[in-house]
Amino acid sequence: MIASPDGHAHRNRGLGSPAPTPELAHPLGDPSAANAVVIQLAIPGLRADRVCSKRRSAQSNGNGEPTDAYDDPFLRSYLRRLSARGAAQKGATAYRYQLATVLRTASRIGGRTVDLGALFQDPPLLGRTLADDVAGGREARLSRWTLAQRRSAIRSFTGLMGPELAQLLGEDPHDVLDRALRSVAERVGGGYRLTGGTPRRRIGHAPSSDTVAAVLAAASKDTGFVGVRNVAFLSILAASGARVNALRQLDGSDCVVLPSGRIRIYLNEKGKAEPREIELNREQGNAFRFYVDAFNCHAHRQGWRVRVCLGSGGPIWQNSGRGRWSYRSVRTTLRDACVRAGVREFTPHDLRRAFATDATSTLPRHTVALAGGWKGVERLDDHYVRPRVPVLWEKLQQVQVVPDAEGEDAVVSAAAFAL
Amino acid sequence: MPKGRMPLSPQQLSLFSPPLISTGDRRRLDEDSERLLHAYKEARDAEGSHPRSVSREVCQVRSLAREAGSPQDPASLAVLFSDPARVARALVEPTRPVALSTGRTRLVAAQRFLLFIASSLNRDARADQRVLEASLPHGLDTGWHALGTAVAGHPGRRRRRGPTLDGADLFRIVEHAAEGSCIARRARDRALVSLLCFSGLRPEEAVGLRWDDLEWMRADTGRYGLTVAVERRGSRLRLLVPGPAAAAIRALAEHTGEEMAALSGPLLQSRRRTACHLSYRSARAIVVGACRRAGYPAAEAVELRSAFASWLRAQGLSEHETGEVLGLARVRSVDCLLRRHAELAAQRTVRERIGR
Repeated sequence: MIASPDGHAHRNRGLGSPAPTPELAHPLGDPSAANAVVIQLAIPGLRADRVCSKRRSAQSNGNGEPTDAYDDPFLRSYLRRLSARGAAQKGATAYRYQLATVLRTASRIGGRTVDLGALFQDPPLLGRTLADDVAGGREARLSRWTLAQRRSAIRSFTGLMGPELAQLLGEDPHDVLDRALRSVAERVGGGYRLTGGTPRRRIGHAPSSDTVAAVLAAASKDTGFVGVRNVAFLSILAASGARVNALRQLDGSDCVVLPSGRIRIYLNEKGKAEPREIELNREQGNAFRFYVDAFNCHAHRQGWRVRVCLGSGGPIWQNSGRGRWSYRSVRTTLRDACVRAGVREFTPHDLRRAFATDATSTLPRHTVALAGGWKGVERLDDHYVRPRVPVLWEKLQQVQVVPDAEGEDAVVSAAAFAL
Repeated sequence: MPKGRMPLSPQQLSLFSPPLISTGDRRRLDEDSERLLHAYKEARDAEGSHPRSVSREVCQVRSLAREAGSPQDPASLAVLFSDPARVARALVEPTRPVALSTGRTRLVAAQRFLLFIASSLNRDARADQRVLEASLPHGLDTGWHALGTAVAGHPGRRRRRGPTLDGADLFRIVEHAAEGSCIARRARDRALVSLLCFSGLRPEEAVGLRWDDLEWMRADTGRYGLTVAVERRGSRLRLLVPGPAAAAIRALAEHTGEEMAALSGPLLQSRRRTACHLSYRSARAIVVGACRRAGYPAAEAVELRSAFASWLRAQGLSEHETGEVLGLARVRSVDCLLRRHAELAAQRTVRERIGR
């Protein structure tokens, strides 16, 4: 299931669903008032969003309808609610983009400008829009994952804007959405299946321990603090299975040095409300400290004012005196190191795959999921673990077939399962 | 500070977020609203509700009035609650970020206040509640008894969580508890920190403890163990006090020069006023001081309880037995306390196995 920024599963089909209240006013005010300066969304009686008349006239098509998808009043209100629910910025941006795309697609398919309210009033158009896998301006089709995210965004929208949509439609908006999806889905047995979108490919690979070691050695050859930083960053990434952006965005205040000398870091990872605590071992801790000293020494020599400090605020991973090490630069560093080491290129995220693959080959999956910060084993199984053929051969050669105690049957014993 | 830049208040997130108005600048609600709130408080007290719940509800209703109006000019409660849809909007789109628990408390307070105020305003309480429910977004319903109402609120913690501690860390904190204090306070501070680190007592229970609450009990095995009586979930239960905490209490009794059985009054006394309990704030300052001296960031009570649970597990107790010592009704609470320890243990296991 795709994680939603508002942290809700977006279905509501129970006895408790509230009935729409017809006595409430239309959420968008009087639709006929074309020259209205304000749009009152949601609940009447409160101050409305002020919209500058000049800006509106520039963005409307003359009938008071917004031409820019992002200017849809429903969308603006939805984003406010999403933000108030504590949605992560990235997730909220993704949903905003998907809803704007839905509006553009609906306008293309329907041949007229539509807003989200009007789209819900036309379930067949809503269904065709959600199932449309034509990538705008490109030959390629959209992936199933993109379409799933689009549906997730519209479910989230339906949930948070439920009261207003219920007034507008006169029924539960989730029912309207279900009807729309069913109208374009294929009937299979007792259920429905959506057929649009290209299947997701399993991309990326899991580099072996030897490859990772070779790349680390190559990355350490950069001069100055850069080589030390590369080793510290990549070794933590490989050993903890952390996400690259979570580690890259590590702040000094997210590092704690314990009296025992051990360092704990707290990574804010995607899809998690609480930061993940990671304990660095002695080797990584030393590399980490060495980097901090090397950078501060370099910054002092260069006359930069920036310093890296464990326990107080400020980015940890720096490339210069101007700010945080960028993702693009991390990738370039890793690519160069792969070239120098003479191994197949891999991305920082492949180190997470390598962690999952190595760990699951010797430990139970739930232990690996706990260690690597996966919420369950499903995503770990489907997208991260890539068994390696040489390891398989090695293990298969260790399998011995021996008779059981009664000598009647043969059991596979010893090495393969005594891990 | 660069020229032209406004100083940020500690609570303000950035220059772009609206400055939070200090309590002193906030206007009080109008007289009618305050009278209504007072009547509501009395009615809830008369129902036998917990005073802390009541004061929390009153506080949240007041916040709703400020959300619906403005901090300088709060909305009148009578006007606000005549329009449940307006209450809904204040719940769904607050002007400043709130925690999810605050959002949920606000909803409960609004529902209860709506029921209370309906008779004063000659309104149909049930109809108003229906309007309020219809005006709120709904998430997943989990059964006939739940609507899955969604209100505003950030699920994450505002305060950073400290490092996950274990038994060795607890011993270190207790060792440093008495440092830097005068002789008279050493035994008390050590007893307090020991109780918070090595017993199932919560901070408010530890500071409210009396000598009469302690009792030596004989187990079936013939051994004696110290127990402490506390009130939880409306009933009185006895918690076992493990060795490190029992030793600190015994040392405190010896410091007074009397037998433990002969002592009475507060166990942890305030330094300034005799026969008076140590305040919660002082207890917190003692724990924070001990943590800092031991080289750790200030630990919260739940982090100490979590470390204690981990120590009990390391001593060979099962999850159910750990829950019993901590005085927890459900074993799932023990799992929650030990979740971060399980993650760290898994990390160590993986690191050892794959050699990274």
